Amino acid sequence: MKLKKVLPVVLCSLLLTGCWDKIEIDRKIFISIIGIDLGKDAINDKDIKKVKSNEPFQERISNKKLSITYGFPDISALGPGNTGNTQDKYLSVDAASMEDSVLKVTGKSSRTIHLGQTKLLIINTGILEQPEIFKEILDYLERHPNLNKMMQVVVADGNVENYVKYKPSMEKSIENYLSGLMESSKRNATVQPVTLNDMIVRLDQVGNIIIPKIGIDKEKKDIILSGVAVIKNFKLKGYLTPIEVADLELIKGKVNGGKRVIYKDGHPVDINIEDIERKVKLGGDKNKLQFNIKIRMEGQLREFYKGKEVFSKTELNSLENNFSESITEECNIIVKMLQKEFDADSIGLKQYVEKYKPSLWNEIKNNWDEAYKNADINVNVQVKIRRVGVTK
Amino acid sequence: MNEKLEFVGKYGLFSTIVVTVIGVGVFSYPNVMASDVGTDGWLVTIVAGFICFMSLYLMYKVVDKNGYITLYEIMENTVGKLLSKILALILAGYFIIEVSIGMRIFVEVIKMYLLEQTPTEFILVVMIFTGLYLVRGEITALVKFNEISFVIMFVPIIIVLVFSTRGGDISNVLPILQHSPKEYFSGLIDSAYSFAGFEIAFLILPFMKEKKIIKKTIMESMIFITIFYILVVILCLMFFTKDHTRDLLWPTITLIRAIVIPGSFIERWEGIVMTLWVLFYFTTFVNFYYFSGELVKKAFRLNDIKISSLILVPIIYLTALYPQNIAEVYSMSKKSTPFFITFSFIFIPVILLIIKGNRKKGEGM
Repeated sequence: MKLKKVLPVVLCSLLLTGCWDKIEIDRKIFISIIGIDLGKDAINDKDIKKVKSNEPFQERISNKKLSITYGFPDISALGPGNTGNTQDKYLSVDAASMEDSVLKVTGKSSRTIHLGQTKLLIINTGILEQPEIFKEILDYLERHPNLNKMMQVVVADGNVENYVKYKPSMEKSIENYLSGLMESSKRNATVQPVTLNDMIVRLDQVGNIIIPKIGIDKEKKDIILSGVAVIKNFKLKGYLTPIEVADLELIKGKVNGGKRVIYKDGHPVDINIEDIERKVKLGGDKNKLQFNIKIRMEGQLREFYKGKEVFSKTELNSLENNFSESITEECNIIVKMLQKEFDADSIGLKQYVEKYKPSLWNEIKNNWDEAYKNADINVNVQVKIRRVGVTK
Repeated sequence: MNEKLEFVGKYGLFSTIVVTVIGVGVFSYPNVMASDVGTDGWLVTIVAGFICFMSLYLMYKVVDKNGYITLYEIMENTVGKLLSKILALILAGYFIIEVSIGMRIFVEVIKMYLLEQTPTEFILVVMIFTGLYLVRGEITALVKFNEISFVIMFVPIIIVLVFSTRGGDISNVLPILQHSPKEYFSGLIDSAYSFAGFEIAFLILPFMKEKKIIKKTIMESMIFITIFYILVVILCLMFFTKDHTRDLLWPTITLIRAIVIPGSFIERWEGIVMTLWVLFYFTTFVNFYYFSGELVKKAFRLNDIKISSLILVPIIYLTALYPQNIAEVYSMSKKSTPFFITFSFIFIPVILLIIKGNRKKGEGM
């Protein structure tokens, strides 16, 4: 009796409801890399500006502002029997916007695009020269609900397609290769990886960010990390080399690991940085800010010269002093460069004032750029060699 | 009263208040706080939590003084038949608008993250009927459901939030106390609005087994809610900073989606977020729905909540479909907020207490 009542209900729910969102997994492309390049029409956009927003057929203004490459693993090669060995494939389109490119790629392929698994975003340096276009792209990336916000972002010189096509010798795909590369450079405390989330947050919060830059080593045909790009107000300000980045990270006080070297009597002396502590002190008034950044580093001596003994207080002290002076000098040069040439507060002094000196911040927040440019910034580094290894 | 069984225990009251108050609001709460008072959201939350506790305490006093009868009976005894009908209908209307706005937000988010092609109307209907089914199970089923969902909701979300502490910077919570009193006031109103739902105490208190533990339990539940809100606000500030939290419509969802666990043994948390999203909304929805059903039943002298809840179905459906887009949903909720929370947090308990007090004196008791 009960069955007779229940059965129609079960049948109804099975037969009368439908699934609107059914997509088979083999009908999907899981995009792993997005490469964004400037298109042909990027620079002359005078025609677009003439278009009124209520005109008909605006879709026809098919301008090729962006050229976007999507890389994805070929999952059709995966299956029972052959595990995990897939080659990356890629699709490249010219489009007016990011969403346009997704539609065009869908039109070009037999599958639907899925962006939730993207691991790497490569932005061409040309994009960064065009703040308007860069803002359009950022808004898309920020607004998209399903995009993987933790994908890594790199800036690339030259045609992005070449990077997406690149077959690294160590890893199966470029996104794994690059993330590994950055992971190990993190240990050397040079170029720090940046995620999409970091980028969006930093640009919202302080208006500037440094993004790792990759380039192709022409002789060896290798992809290398060639430094970082400094971006301020959505515009490229310049590049820093890995050595300069190492100093910058030091000033930010965010280094864990890494090594430093000085030459003494023609021999390299290496220390490993094990611990670092940064203290910022703010003096002066609203007309002239004075930042004193004190950095205390602790390290271990790794390499000296056989036959020379360092196991004495005076010897170590003199080494420490040499290191301190050399690094202090370096840091001050970098700070001046960021301040005067790049005009970008990559150290995070703005946040420091905002967080810890709120009353001063209220006075200067409207002309922070000016105040930063005129500020006196002094970096003072103190190196302590705590350990010397197991020989004297 | 046919269902005058005293079956609700300490945990039943606690979980009912918590799951009713914490709804989908928690996913947008950091955004509201960051827009109003920047980094001071957590401070405002504490104050708002305290104010709401005072209001809840008044409600408890009202029920206590009247000898644990239902809200409608209390109103009938104190303000008379006609006025109590009007008050009950305003209150029911407020609950309906509240759940409908919540319903629309719920559906919009589900459509964005999960069911892109599924029609809004379909999700609405499924959700309302599921709620209806539970409401028809009467109050015993409702409280049992709350008790079970409390565990299902809060154990996972607290684990998830612990993971999300990675990568945040606690100094983003600074500076504190840098806003004008006006900003704090509007923040306080918005924050208090996020506590809406503790009026459910009127529904539950008459069914309490032990009356002694009520005071302590309502305090515990309010403390739990306040701490949970503070946790969410601080995590979002740590991770996104106040500038970006202002831009995000649902910072908590974005936060959970952005979790990266080293070694990535779990990636892609959307599934978990959406499960929580459904549960958080559904518990708020059914509790409000039941309460308004109860009020409508009493006001129109219907003999069963099964009928009154059925009457409410089309009203909820239409109100939820009324706004044109998500921006209008939020502006609608912002407009109706101040009136409704003053009405239900302050006006109802205070007026019932005052009139009751006067009556007592007049009767010479």
